[in-house]
Amino acid sequence: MIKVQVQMFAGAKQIAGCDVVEIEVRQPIQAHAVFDALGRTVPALHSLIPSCRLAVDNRYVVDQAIIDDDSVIALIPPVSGG
Amino acid sequence: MNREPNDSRQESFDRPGHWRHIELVDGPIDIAALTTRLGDPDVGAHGWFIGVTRRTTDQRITETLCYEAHREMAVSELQRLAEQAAEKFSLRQVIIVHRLGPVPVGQASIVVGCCSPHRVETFAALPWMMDVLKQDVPIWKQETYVDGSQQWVHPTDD
Repeated sequence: MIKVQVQMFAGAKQIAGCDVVEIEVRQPIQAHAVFDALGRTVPALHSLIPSCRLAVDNRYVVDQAIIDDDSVIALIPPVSGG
Repeated sequence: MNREPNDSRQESFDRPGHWRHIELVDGPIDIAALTTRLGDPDVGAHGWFIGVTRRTTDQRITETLCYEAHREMAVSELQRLAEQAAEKFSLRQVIIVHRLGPVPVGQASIVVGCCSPHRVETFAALPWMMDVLKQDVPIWKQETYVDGSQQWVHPTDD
């Protein structure tokens, strides 16, 4: 298991109460494992996570994507710009 | 244009007369200054969309909207959006400026401008760009109502 940090934004940041959440995941890191770990680490995020996407190094990734452990990972809640 | 220290800006050119201007600003958007930037003797249509903070949604009265972004990713997604739009609709120039932080009622949160040789492409490009922006660009808004309550807005609420 390794520790990685996930950036929080908007409603997710409000729920988590911080800008960054540290999680523990197995290698190789898969996006869906990041969601699972976030739900375990911050149970209050559980209901929001199904509507969120994950971004790695500023690009959206699919659940099966393999993530480098030195990448910048961000939890992206439903967006509402404009 | 009113620029703040946190402003994020990206300009790109691929060939003469073809450019994209992407910007996140933390203060009021100078719309007049932007309108003077679109110009090309070979285009016949300039199109603009200005999104502003609406006072009334159903029965609720809004005091202000506050926008937050994943800045670096928002700029890269907006750049990608502008490039896709330019390709899809034969646009010569694209401007997208989004304001972050509090935006009072009646003030602009976003200005999108584009130009193309013919009006059909310009008309079609604006709603397409707004739809993609509202789906993919990591910018969020929190609504504060006059009663003091707050709510994060989801895309289906618009």
